Amino acid sequence: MQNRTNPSEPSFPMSRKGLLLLSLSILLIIAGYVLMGGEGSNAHRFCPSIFSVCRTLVAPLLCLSGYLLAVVGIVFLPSGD
Amino acid sequence: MQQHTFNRIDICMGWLAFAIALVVYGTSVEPTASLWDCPEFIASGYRLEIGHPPGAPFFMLTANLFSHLAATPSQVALMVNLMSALLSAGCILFLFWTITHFARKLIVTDGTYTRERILLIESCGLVGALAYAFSDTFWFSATEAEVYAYSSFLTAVVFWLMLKWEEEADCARSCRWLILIAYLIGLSIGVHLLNLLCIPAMVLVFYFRRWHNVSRAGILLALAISAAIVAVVLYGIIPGVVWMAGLFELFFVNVCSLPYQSGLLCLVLLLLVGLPLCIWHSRNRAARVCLLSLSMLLLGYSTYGVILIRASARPPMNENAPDNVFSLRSYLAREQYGDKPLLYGQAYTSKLDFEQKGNYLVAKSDDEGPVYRLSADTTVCRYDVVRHDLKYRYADNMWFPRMHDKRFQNQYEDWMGGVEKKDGMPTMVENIRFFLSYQVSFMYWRYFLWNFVGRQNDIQGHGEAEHGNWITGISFIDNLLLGCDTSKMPDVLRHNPGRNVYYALPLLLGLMGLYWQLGRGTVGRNQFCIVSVLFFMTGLAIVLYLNQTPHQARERDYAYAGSFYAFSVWIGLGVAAVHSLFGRLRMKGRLRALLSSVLCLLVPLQMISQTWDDHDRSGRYTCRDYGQNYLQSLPQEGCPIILTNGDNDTFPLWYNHDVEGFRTDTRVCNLSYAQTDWYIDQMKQPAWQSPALPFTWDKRQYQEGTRERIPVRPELEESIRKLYRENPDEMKKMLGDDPFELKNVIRYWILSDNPDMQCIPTDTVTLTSPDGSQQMTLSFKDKEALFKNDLFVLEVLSHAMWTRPLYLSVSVGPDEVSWLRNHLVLEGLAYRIVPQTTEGEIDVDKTYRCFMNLFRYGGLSNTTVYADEHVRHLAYTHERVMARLIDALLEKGDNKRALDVAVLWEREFPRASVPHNELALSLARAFYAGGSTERADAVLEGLLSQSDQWLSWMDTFSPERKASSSHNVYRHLRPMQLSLALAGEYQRQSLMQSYTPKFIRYAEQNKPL
Repeated sequence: MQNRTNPSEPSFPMSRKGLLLLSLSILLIIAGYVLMGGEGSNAHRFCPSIFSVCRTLVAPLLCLSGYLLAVVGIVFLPSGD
Repeated sequence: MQQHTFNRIDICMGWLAFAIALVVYGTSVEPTASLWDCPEFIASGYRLEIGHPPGAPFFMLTANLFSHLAATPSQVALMVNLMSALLSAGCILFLFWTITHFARKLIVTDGTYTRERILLIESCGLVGALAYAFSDTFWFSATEAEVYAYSSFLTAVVFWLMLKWEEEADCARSCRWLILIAYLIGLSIGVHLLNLLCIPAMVLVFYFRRWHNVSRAGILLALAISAAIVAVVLYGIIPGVVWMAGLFELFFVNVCSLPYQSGLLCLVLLLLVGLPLCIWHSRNRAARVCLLSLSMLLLGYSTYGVILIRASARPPMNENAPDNVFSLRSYLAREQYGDKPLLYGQAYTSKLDFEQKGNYLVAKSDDEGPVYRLSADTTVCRYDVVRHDLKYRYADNMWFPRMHDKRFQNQYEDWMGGVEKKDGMPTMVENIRFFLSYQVSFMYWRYFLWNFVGRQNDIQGHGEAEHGNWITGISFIDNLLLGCDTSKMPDVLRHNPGRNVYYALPLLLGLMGLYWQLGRGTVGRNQFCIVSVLFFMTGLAIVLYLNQTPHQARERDYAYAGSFYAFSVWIGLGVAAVHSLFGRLRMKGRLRALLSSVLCLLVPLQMISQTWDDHDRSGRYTCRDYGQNYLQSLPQEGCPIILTNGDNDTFPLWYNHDVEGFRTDTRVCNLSYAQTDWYIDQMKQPAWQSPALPFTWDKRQYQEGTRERIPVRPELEESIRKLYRENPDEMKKMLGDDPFELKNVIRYWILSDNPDMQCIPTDTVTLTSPDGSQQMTLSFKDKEALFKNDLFVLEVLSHAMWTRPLYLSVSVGPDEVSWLRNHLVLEGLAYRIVPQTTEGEIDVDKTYRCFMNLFRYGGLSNTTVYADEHVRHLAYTHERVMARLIDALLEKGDNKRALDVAVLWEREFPRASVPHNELALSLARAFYAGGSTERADAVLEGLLSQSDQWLSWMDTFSPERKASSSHNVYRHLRPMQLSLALAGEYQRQSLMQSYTPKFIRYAEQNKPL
C-alpha cells in the first residue's frame, strides 16, 4: 500500500485568517460562558435572575455564534489561496 | 455539457428536495410540545435547564435561539419543533447530495455529462431523498422537539463532508474538511452519541481514496482502525477529560483547599494554551492534523460547559444536578440506566457469587473506584467519597449473554415459550434464538420493514398477530405472515391511521439499487462497502450494543433511523437499476431515462399517500392540555403538591410550569426521582411561586448511599410496648410519648445514627393533626421495607398533612406508595390525600367542575386531528375518571349532570379518534338515564359490533397465533357481555336479538380449557 499525499500541501491545513476567526470564536464562547454564570437559587430563595435576558438569551447566543463561527474558521480560505 | 453545469443543477435539485421536505414537515409539525422527552427538551432549550442524562447542551444552545423567535411562551414549543423540521429537511438535502455523489461516480465514468445522465443522477437523488423524507421513522422525529432530528442532520452533514473531502483530496488544504468533521463530531456529542457510528464508513472512504491497491486485508485493517477511533472517543476522550478534571479538582480543592471548580478551570486553561503550542511545534504534518482534529473535537465537546454552569444556577429542572465534574461524570455515563453485559457476563438466571466474611455471606464484587460528591457539610469546600462503584460478580457467566436481566425472567420465558436451560443457565442455542428472534428480527428488521414494506398499525406490538407487525399490503402474503384472514380485520384496525402499506416497493427498489451498485466494478464495490458499513453500524450494531429486554416501554424504531438513511441511498440508486433494466428491454435514450425516473418517483409519492395521516400532527394540543389538566385538578390556594411517577405525567407538567408559566404555584414531585438525593435537594428549594417542600432532614441524612432502604419490622412492636409498660417515663424520654407516632418513628428510628435502629418498628404508624382533632393511620402491612422515596413522602406528610394540599396523580401505579391507597379522594385527574380512611371515594362536585369548566382537551374533537397510541392512552386516563364520575352521579340520582358529562365525553373524545372500550358502558348508561336512548343505543351498538368484529376475526387465527392472543379474546368478550347486560337492563330488544346468539357462540368457542 502506498500513500498518495500531495507533496505541495501547505504545512498548515487552515489559513491565517481562518485561524484568526477560530480564535475569535473561542473568545466568543468564553464570553458566553462567563455571562451565563452568576448566582443561583438555594434552599431559602428561588432566584428569578437565573432566567434573566443576559443569562438565557445573550450568553447562549454568544456561545452558539462562537461554535458556528468556528466552522467558518476551520474551512475558511481567502480568495487566491 | 460541463461538470460545473451539472454541479449547478445538482445544487438546485438538492434545494428542491430540501424545500419539499421542509414544506411537508412544516405543515405537519406539532403546534405544541409532544409526549415523552419533548417537553423536557423544550424547557431545557428555552430556559437552559438540565434534562435527563447524558444531556444535550448543543441542542440546548440551538433550541434556545429558536425558542426566542416565539412571540409568546405558548409558541416556544412550535419554534423548537420547527427547528427539528428544518434540521430534518437539511438532512434530506445532504442525503440528496450524497446519493447524487454516489450515482455520478457510477454513471459518469468517462467525464461526459449528457442530458439523460444528468436526469438519471438527479432522479436517483430525488427518489432516495424523498423516500427517506416520507418514511415513517424519520418523519416521526422531524415534527417534534427530540434530539433525533438534529442527530440525523449532523450525521448527514458529516458523511457528506467526507465525500466532499474525497472530491478535493488532491487539492491544497483538503485536510481542513477532516478537521471540520472532527469538530462536528465533537459538537454532536452535545446532541446525541449516535453520530460516532458513522466514523467507520468515513474511514473506509478515506482508505479507498488514499490507497491504490485496495485489498480485503486493507479493508479489515481500516475497519479495525475505525473501531479503535470510535472506542477512543467513546471510552477515552468523553469520560477521560472529565476524569482528568476530577483529578485536578481533587488536588486543588481537597489538597490545596481552593474553591470548587478551580481544578477544572486550571485544566481548561492548560488545554487552551497547551494544545495550540503542541500543534505549533509538531513537525510531522499527519501529527499536526491529528492534534488539530483532537483539539477541535474537544472544542466541540466543550458545549458541556452549558450543563455545568446552568446546573450550578440550580434551576427548578436540574436532573442529576451535574454542577461539578464528579456528578457530571455520572451524568455522562448515564449511570441510572445500569450497564449490561455484552461479550461475557451474567444470564438472567445467574446468581451472585457469595463469599464468607466473618459471620456474613457477602456478594463478591470488584471495586471500580470511589464516587465523589460535594461534601454534605456546606461550611467547607471539599469532595467526599459517598460510595464505591461496585461491579458485582456472578457465579455463572456465559459468552455473549442476550437474556441477561433477572428482572425480566417472565418476559424472556414468555417470548421464548419456555426456556429449557442446562445447569440452571439458558443454553447457547436458546440464547442465540432469543437474539435472532427478538433482538434482531423483532426489534430491528420489523422496524426496517415498517419503513420500506408496510406497517400494520400504530399500536405497540409484543409479538401478537394484532399489533405493530410489518405487513406488505398484499393480502395473501399478509395472511401467511400473520396467520389469519386479514380481510376480516375489524374496522378499528382497518381505519387505523398508522396502517401504511407500500407493497414492498421501496424495499425492492433498494435491493435493485444495491445489486446494481455491486455490479459497477471496483468503484461500485467500494461504494457498496461504505454504504453497508454505515447501514450495519447504525442498525444492527446498535442492536448488539443495546442488548434489549422484551416489553420495552415504547417502540424503539427511532434509534435505527441512521440505517434507514443508508438504505435510502440504495433506494435512490434503484432508479439507475430500473434504467439499466429498461436498457435490456431495448428501450432507448431520453425516453428510457424519463420513464425510469417517473416510474420510480411514484414510489415516494405512494409512501407519502400512506404516511401523511399518521404524521400530520397539526391541530394537536393534547400533551400541553392534558398536562394542564393534572395541574388544574389541584386547588388554587395553598400551593399544592402533586406526586407523579412516569414520563408522560411529569414532563408535560414541567413544560407547563417552566415554559408557559402555568400554575407555577403548584409543585410536581416525581416519585421515581425522589429516590435520589439530588432530587430531594431540589424539592427542599422553592421553585417559581411554590415554596420549598417541608423536608427537614440534613443532607448527610439522605445523601446517596444512606437510608436507601429501611426495613419494616413489626416484630419489634410487642417488645417496645412491653418496655413502655415497664418504664414509661424513661422510654418516653428515649423514644417519644407515642413510639408509633410517625414523627417519633422518623426522629428516633429512621434518623437514628445507629444503623441497627434504622428501621420502622411497627407496621402501623399514626399521624395526629397539630390541634389533636384528627388522626391518620398508615399501614405498611404488605411491605418488607420502605425506600427513600417512601421516606421522603412520609417526612413531607408528617409536616404538611394539615397545612398544604397533597395530591397523587391518577397515573401513578398501584405499587407506588401503596400505603397511601386507602387515604385518597378522587378530584379530577388527581387523588387528594386525606387523613380519613377511604374506599374508592370521589369528590363529585370538584371532579364535575374540573371536567366541565377547567379542563382542556387538546383538539381531539376535530376528528381530522391524529391521536396516536400514547395520546389515546392519555385520553383513556380521562375517560376512566369520567366513567367513575358518571357512575357516582347516577348513583346519586343526578341524571342531568351525568348527561352533561356524557355529552362532553362524546364531543371531546370522539369514537373516530379514540375508539371506545369497556369504559364507554358508563357513557351509554348516562345517555339511557338522561333519556337520550338513541345515543346510548349507538354507543352500545358500536361496542357490540366492535367486539363482534374482533372475535370473528380472531376466529380465523391459526392455532399458534390464537394461543398468543388468548388474553385478548377476553378483552373483547367482556365488553360484549357487559353491553348485553346493559341492553337487557334497558330492554333494548333489537340489540339483544342481534348480538346475544353471537355472544353465546363466541363464549362457547373460547371457553377456557
